[in-house]
Amino acid sequence: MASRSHVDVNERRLRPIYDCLDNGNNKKAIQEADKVLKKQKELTCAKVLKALALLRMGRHSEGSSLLETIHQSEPTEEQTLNAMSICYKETQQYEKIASLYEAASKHQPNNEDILSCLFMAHVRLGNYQQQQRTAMSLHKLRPNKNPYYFWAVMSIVMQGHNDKKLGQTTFLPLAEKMTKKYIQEDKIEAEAEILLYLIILELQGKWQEALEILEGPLGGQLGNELNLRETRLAHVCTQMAKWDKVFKIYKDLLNETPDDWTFWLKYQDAGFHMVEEHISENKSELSDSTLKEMDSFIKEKIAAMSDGVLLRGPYLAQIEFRKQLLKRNWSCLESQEDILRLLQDYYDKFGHHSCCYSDMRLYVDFLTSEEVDKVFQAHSLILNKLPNCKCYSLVLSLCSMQVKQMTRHLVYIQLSRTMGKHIILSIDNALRLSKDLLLRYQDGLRFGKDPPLLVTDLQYSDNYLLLAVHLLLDVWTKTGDDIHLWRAIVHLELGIRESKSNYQIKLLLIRLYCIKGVFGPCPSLYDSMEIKHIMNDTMGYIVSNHVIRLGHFMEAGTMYNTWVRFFDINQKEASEHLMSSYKFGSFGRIQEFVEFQERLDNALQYHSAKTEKMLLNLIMQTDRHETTETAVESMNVHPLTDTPVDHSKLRDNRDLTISLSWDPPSLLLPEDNRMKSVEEEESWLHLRWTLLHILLLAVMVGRDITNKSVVNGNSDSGEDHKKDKQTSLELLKKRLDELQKYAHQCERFKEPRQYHIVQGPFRTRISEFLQGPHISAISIMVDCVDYVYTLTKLGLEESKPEKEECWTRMKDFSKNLIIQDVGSLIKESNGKRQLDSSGLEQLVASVESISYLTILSGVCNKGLNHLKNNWTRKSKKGKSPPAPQPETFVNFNAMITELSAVTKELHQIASSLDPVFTSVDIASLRLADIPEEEQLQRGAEHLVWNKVEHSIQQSSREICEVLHHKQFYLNTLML
Amino acid sequence: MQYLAHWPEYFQVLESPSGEIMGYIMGKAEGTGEQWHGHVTALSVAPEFRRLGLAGKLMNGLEEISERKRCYFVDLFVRVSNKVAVAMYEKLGYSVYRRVLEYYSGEVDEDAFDMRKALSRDKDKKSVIPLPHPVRPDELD
Repeated sequence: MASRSHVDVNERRLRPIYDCLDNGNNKKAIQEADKVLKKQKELTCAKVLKALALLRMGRHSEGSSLLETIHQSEPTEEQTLNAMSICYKETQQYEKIASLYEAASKHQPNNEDILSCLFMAHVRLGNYQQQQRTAMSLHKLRPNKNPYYFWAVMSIVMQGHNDKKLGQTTFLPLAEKMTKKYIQEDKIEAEAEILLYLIILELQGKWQEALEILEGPLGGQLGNELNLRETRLAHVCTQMAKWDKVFKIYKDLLNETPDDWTFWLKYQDAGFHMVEEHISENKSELSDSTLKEMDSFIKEKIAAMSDGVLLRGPYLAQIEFRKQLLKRNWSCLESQEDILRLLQDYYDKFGHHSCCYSDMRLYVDFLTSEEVDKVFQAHSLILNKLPNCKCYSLVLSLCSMQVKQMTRHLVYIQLSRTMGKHIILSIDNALRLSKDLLLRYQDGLRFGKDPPLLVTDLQYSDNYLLLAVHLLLDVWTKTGDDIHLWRAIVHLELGIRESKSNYQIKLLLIRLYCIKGVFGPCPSLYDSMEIKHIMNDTMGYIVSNHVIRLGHFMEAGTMYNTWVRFFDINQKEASEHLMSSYKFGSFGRIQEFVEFQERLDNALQYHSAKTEKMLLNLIMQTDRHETTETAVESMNVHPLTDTPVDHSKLRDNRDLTISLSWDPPSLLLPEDNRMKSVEEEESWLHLRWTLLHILLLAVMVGRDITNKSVVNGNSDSGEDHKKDKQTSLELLKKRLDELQKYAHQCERFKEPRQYHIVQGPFRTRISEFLQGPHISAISIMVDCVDYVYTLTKLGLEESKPEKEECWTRMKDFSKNLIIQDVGSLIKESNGKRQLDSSGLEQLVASVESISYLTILSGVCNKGLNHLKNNWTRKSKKGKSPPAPQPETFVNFNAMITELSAVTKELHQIASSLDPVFTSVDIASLRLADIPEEEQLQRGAEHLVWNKVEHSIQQSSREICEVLHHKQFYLNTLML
Repeated sequence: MQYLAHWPEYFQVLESPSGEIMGYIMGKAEGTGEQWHGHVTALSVAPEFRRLGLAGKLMNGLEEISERKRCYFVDLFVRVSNKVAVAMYEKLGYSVYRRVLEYYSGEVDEDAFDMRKALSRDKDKKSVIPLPHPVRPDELD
């Protein structure tokens, strides 16, 4: 009792501190903690809470040192330990949580809570070996608590995940033995334990043992998850090629759920395996008993629906069955005519559902274009007549019937496109069809009025709009006339007003705007799709290759921050999920979660975003060399030890088929696009990473030069520093060498790669980077850094005319960064004015390079400034008339002056892009003379021009601002 | 993922023959005594796969799992404005148990219906007798 009341008193005293912390009032929390500590000097928890408040206020060193003292006292009291864990979590010092509980557990080896927290601390670190050890301690302490024992088993399994070879020989057999022991002693308590045993057996390929478990009494206990025992059994039997069993299992499952497509596929797969086995065993003719059985089973399932709801499963299964027979050339049951009839039947029954398109698409490959036409023959009345727009009454039932007809027509049009019938149309016919589809789209909008749609609903006729726009894009590709592209954009803008949640329209708009170099409208379109969590990884690519390319630096900063934060947070959250999985015994999830975490940690999008974000910071956060050094410090990177991203580990998680396209498979080639694009992305990432490290290392070299002057006279530490400097400079030169060599290997990317307009990824900026003067410029400037370093080491006397040449080389070369022939983004060809954004992209690349050259100049300036100070001191001592400035200083200043001039010129080019500056009104240019008379369309057209104009102004303004800062930076560098 | 770690059996995804996600459901089981029930946390069917009975199939699965866990009933929350959904749940045997005021926050807060369906363990269907008055979100158990 006494101790309980003691605890209560403490709790009461600590309460006000907790309250302050919860309310974010850290200052008051410290005061409250001091008040408590006055009364009760040794109340450790109050000290920890004070430290927490200090940390949260940004007073890190005070907070950390207080925490360290407490840590060393090895506290054991629960509340203190909890509070300390919070501190360490917030400062991401997860190892310390483990060592904290480790120490506490030494003092109180029989404290279950402490051990359990220790186990979780190891889970957070992914330290499977320590997990196992701690779980075993828990098990010894509480031998009757099964979960502890199985925590140990799972930790052993995970050690096998880390080391696959040892896993097979040591870890998995051990885990198996431990679980078997519990089975033999009849100590199994939970379904999760049986599942874990199955996982262990399956990982070792011990299918026979797994089969015995599943068919035995333990298997009978697997009832929590739907069909788990059956599907697991089928999986094991598939591995053992026990096809008859698999066949039977799926037949039973299909009797329960005849609409499950996976079951149908596996059922048929097993059936076909049985027939094939029969053939090879008997070396005989095709035995069709199994095939007949399958055929009649499907028919039976179809017949069973005669008076109920129609399910797609059995009908599709029938078509799939025919397809498989056709593929094998087994002609015992049907003819090709059959698949046509089945598709006709399917369209009759399900054509009014929009998913009918994607279902049928799987099978039209087996038909010729003429045969596909036959599928729709029966419906030609609906399909060919354009509905009269005015005369429908809006009676609900009639309305819904019409929706069905419209959907049926849409399925037909989509399949026609997939069969290649749109792509072969002449320009006139394509435009005519596009117009026809737009009329149908507009007519279809009435279905969304009564009953009114929710904002989250899509318009029933939206796909007409998309198909019409795809036709316009076909024409645009063939003719190169931008008018069609602008029309597409205007129609999509109008479409989005009617269907605010249609992400297909938004995706396409983003793509088309970006093709034309207009990024302005994209952020709000992107945000309106509510892209969050994992979608940052899978969908970020939609904008990530454009935002910097088109000079929207501010938005780039926001976007890259969002992406990097998502991945960083995920790393933290993932361990929380793992801990929950142990807590609730969801062992099956643990491996999945670990794999998921690995997938995100190695995401291409993550590594690109990290690299781009740092490069962007070097452009945006630097206007003097001091700010550059601060920016580099805050990046928390270690250029001396970092190694390039291992391409073989990178994971491409982009969802590249998110944008709908109904193009023929031969034009889409999603896998082909992905492979080509991954190769390009990886190379680009490697170049960018190397460039980033060149800059980081150069800044380090600059810092080291000044450090030398600080430690002058202290030879010991001076030597140490020299060693470091050597490495940063050497590594800098090595990275430059790598950049040049790698760029050489990237020749194949010089020509920009093209991907599918609607569905493909978008190219990177690698082509501009390789073709432009960028790598040479950086190379020359790194030579300058190297030269300055030599001078600081050996003295000004070492400056030689032939070496001085590097300044002149840089000076002369910098002119190459000025882009010729940008002038205006409006180009005239064939009497037509078109918006051409390629100049914008070149300009951005030059701006970037100028920024990097400025940083490198800053490094040179640091060294030269150091030399200059020494020289001034010396020449003041001399009595004779002042010596002329050493040539190096003069040459350096001349180079800076030239860089400054180049910057100024780029500034002028950038401001001439701004339509306001040049008093060119893009809207009045009428880039695309849209003939439609309707008021609505005119309004939308105007709005689009406004967006274009605004976006280009934005690009121009941001580029000018960056250049303005660079000019300021360069001015500070004059000696 | 927190749900997936805790109630993995309550997750179902339906994939179409062409590999698209047609719909998914996630849920959980919670409550004590006669309040032990299955809860539908999220149910979603992609637009092009609607009116095919997929939501019903997913709900059946969730009910089946809740039956095995010996739950008394299944409940769910739905926006009162979502008439299509409310009608669909009614067709699946659910009825409005109570109205929850301003359960959904947004530009304009919106009420929710708490809809329930009794399972076989609740023989007298006590769990679905409607409450006469609406409740506030903080009064939910």
